[in-house]
Amino acid sequence: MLKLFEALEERLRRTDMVQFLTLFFAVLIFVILTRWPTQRSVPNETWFALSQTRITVLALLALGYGSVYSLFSQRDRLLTCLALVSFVLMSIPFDIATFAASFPATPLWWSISLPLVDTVAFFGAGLFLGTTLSFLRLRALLPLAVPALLVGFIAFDLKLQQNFLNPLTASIHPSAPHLIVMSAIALATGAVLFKPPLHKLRSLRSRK
Amino acid sequence: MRIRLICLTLPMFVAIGLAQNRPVQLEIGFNGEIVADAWNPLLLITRDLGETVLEFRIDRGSLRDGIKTFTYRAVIPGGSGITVFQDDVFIPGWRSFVWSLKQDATTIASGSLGQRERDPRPLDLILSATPGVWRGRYGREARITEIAAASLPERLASYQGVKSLLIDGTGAVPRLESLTAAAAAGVLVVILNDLPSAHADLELLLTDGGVRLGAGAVIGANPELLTSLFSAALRDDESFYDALRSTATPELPAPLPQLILLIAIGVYAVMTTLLVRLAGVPGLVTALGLALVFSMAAWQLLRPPQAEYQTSVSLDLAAGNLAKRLQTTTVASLPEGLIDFEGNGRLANLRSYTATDKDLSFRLGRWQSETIFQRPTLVPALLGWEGETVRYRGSDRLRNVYVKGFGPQAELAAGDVLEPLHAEESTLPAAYLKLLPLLPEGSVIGRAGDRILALLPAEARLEEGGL
Repeated sequence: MLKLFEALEERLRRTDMVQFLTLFFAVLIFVILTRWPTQRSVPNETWFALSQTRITVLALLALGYGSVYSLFSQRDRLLTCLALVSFVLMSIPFDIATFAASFPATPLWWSISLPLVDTVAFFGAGLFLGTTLSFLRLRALLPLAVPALLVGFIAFDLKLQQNFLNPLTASIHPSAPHLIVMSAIALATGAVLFKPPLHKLRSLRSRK
Repeated sequence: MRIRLICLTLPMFVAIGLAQNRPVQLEIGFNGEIVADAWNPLLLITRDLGETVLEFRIDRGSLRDGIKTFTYRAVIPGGSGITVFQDDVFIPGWRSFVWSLKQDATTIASGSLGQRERDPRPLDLILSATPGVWRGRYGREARITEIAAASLPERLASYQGVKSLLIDGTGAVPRLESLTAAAAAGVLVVILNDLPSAHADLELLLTDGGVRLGAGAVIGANPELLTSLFSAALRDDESFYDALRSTATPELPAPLPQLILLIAIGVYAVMTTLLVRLAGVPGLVTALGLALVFSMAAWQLLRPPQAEYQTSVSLDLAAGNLAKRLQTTTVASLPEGLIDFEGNGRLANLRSYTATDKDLSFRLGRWQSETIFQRPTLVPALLGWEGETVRYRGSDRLRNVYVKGFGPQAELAAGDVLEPLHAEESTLPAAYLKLLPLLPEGSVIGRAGDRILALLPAEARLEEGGL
């Protein structure tokens, strides 16, 4: 467990992660300051803007990292996914602060847990996207494909008039179908990330 | 002999049976005349029925606003014998009006009213054995109906939709309590002079030919004067409610200043980033712990102590030791939810709501507010005329005292007497700006906490509209 923490800390300390963490915080602070009311008669709508921004940034980061790290080692994938989960945990105070002042109808547990589930699920979707594009030898399209996939998810839900994959709507309107679909993808992603490497399985078989 | 006895008694039993074949009798308004957008008396009589539920479903929406349902529900205890239930219900202008009386799942009685039967004109009531004699004295637009003395309620709110009540002495003697309630509600009660001796009690209300009582007046008049009396303007409660509503706005919690917020979240963001970057595994653990601490601190600091805010203000329209109290309560809710309000009232805005004989409930969205116009009630007057002076009988200090036509006056403590003096005009409190134009010249107005007291002039001058 300590080794995992050490490895995670090492992953988080890398320049790319620190830069993205700083950028993530900067975006959240900007959203809060631009939406925060200055008069008591004005409704506080900050949480709605922050929640959607937070989940969009997290989804893009998860899709991006997932697609890029699809060709990396399993350990690197796992650590990157855990680093993104740390992003979610570290941004919870922003969510709670705005939630407390905004009084949304959305339950607090939903606001806290959904980004965790969605981030892991989008990381898995990113792994799938990266692997597919590699198979098609189209990895050069990754910078375009990552936002396109998120837009595709949103468009898919809009077309079906349902909320299975759209994180923007789900972040403010609790949706059981979204939670079920995303939990299933997140569990599949977890299975992929924690699966023993192929060479270890082979060595186990040869020992038998 | 036995056959004769049966022949004699049978018609009697049949008659009794026929008389009792109506288990439910419902009457809304006076003599069945409902005044839309006003409080109306409700009388329900049930015979030999167990517990029942009376329900009105009134759609008061429009083509533009959609369906806005007002539901009134009252549980009638019932039992063997006759059960009488009386209440006052605010009947809004309706698109459809359906009522039912249910016992469990069974509908005992039901009915409906169409849009064409909706009439917001106030009523002119006549208490007379020969009402036709007086009909010509009213204006062409008058909505006249006869009423029996026994049908006059003793509740102030019942008379909100009534403009005048004429008693000519040919009918049964009405109860003084009913006349007092009617007058205090703002009704012009006209008692013709030279009443028969059976009506002698009514003379008690006719000091010096006429007296103001609450928001209305009791006037003794000759038949020749009736036409000018009935053309008198009615004091409209709606204008008073609107004036009160503008003064009762709940104060919502002030948001945290942006600078403090920026410093707090900036410190958190910088500390977290530095801990992750520079402090190794302990730094990561500390950063996660810091997230927990900041979350709890943010909740404590930014969550308002209460989610619902209420402000009430009332106006007592007084004269002759009685006052009609109009009260408004504005409710503001930060979260979305169902608001339960103890007491009777109606909503100021077009919104669906449910009322019972005890309370009302409605849904409010996030950061929304709604004003409840509470049912008018009869209360003792805290301001009263003693000759040319005014005595204050309240306990709180009466501030912002103002006499219309005289100007601002000195504050009054409990038991103080005010002799109105001409004073230089000064800036009026915001609450008075809308109220003063609605009051006749010579009225006294003052504020004690969340209560505004208005004392109408002692004389009821007909040339100024009767009130």
